[in-house]
Amino acid sequence: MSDTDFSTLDHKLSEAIDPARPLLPPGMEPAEPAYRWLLTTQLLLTWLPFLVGALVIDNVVLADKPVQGVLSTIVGVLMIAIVLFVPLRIYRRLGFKLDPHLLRVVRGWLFHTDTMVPFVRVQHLDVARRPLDKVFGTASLVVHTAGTHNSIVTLPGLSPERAAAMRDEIRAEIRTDWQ
Amino acid sequence: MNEAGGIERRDVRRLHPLTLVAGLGGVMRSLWGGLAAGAYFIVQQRWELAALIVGATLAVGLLRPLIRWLSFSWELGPDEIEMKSGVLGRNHRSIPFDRVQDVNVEQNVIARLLGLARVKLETGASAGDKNEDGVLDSIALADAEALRDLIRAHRAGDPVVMAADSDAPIEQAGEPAPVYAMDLRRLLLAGLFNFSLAVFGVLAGFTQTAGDLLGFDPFRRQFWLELGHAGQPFIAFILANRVVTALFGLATLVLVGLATGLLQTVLREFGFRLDRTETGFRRRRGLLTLTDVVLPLRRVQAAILATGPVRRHFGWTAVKLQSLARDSGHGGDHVVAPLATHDEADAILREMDWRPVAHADDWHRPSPAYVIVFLLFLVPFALAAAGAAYLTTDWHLLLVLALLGFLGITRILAWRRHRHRLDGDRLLVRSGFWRQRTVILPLARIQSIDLKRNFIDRRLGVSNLVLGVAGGSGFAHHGVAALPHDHALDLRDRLLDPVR
Repeated sequence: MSDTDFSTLDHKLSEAIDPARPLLPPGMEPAEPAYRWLLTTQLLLTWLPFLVGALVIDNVVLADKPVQGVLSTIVGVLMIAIVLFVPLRIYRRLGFKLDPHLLRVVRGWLFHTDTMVPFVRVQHLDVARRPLDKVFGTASLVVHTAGTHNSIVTLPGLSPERAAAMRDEIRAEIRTDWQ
Repeated sequence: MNEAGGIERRDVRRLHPLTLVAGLGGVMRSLWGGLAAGAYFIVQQRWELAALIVGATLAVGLLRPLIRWLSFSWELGPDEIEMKSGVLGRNHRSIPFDRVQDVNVEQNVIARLLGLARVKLETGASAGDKNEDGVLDSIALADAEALRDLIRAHRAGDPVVMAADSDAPIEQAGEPAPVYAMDLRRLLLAGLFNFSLAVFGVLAGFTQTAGDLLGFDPFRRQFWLELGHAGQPFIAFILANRVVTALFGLATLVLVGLATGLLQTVLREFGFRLDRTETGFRRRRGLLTLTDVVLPLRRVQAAILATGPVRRHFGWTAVKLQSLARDSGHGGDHVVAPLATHDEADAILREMDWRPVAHADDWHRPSPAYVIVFLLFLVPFALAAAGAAYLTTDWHLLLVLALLGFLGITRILAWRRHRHRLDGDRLLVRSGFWRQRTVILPLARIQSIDLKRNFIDRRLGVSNLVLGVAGGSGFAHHGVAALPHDHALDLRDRLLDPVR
């Protein structure tokens, strides 16, 4: 079974028509489109300090040197490229599915992760809204299991109502016999 | 109701008063700064200042344990233990017996002289901070054993047993034969295998940099020259050429490494004994510090057979159990047999009602991508090192390349070892070249499954399965690496079968 094979001609065509179309295994729900802009803002905020740092270094340390401006240019171009290219690609590959017995979350572009959490293993649940979530009207569902590794599964980019509904749905399934 | 060790329920109790005496050593250690300052002023002949500092340090140092002792109390409820502590901020902690992962009774040398024991109730919560679990430091040994039996009996689901007729503690003469025990010969053998590579490395580096200062550098002629008269034929032979000198230097370091490993092992594993109790295993060990751990089998998440290339050659393996609680000293999985033959390891597994790892030929090996992806990630580092060496003409940087090559070779060796097999209701994973591990993971213990692939994995058509399992040491996760993508999807489905 190969449910992540997207290299069909049909797919390429639809991609040309609608580049923001989610790129997910069949049957999976995409994240809210607003999540794309949340990611863009987040990446901008992450890279801004680096750009400022590069500008400072260029104008203080490297002032009057022949290489002045090179560092800022590199960081600036890198930042614009990342902000333009990355959020859309991550957004298209973020999806989730509530199966009868488990939650499945797929995410990631260069480093792709496909997570499955059986409901019986869930210890507790969070619906989290960070400041940026509030600006863009999204929420994250955070699922905690007893594991030491991968014990926290985060599903971002949901509408707050959907996140709360999913929490209640999973909550109803939880039994407390993980031992 | 009166328990074996005199523990009564609903009775507010304090720690043993002798705890204050036992803690003196620790107090002195914590005060050495103040005492050193006092000594400094005594040398300066400023007597008043010295007296003031030493007096204040001692007062604070001795009062603090006293206040702590006075403010700490504990009591037993019907199915929980309560601990109250603190002066300014009072803390009232209750630990339900049901949530205790294991009971750890520890005795260091002073505690043994005074008949005290430190009881640690592992709950699996706040795994990082050792002080945060339920610790009674210290109570009388008899009380500690009674408390342990009480909690263990509760686990057995039959709390009444512990009442009046429980005056048959486990140490009685009729104790059944242990599941596993180490005699002196086995202990020393385990010590030899515990050859401390770390100490060896540190010493080797140390003699190169600081050996001159200390007059200890077995790699130099002078060292052996001073050891005996140069006229003796033995020493003369050593001095005859540099190679022999270096060999003897190496031998010295190896001996030190061996001695360190031996000492560590004997101190920790002396008198190792593993018994089967009604709910799980009980492990006792230690030369100076005795530890006594009860590990309920219901809480075991995975079993790990750990060995190395040399140990495996001689047919030895260690058996560890992964649970939510952490082993004292190791901070990881509970060692239930430091050095066992395959038969002994199988016997331990059978005592747990687990099937031994049978010989089979349907083990699956990872794809060569396991090595290729790793090498590709090393390429940028290699290029950076080579570039830096070229620009700075500091050819020492080429050592980095040698290191990267070494890493690549160990990865290839690990790839040859790595394999997995689905064995009914459990997954077996074998991995590692230097630290060879066979993990026995019941499918019912898998908390979550990640199927991971990065951009190189995708090109090569492979995926990695990473399994979320409770407990265990910080970094090592269980998983199956570099599976062909279709196999990974299929294996994931089969691993999730029990919860569907």
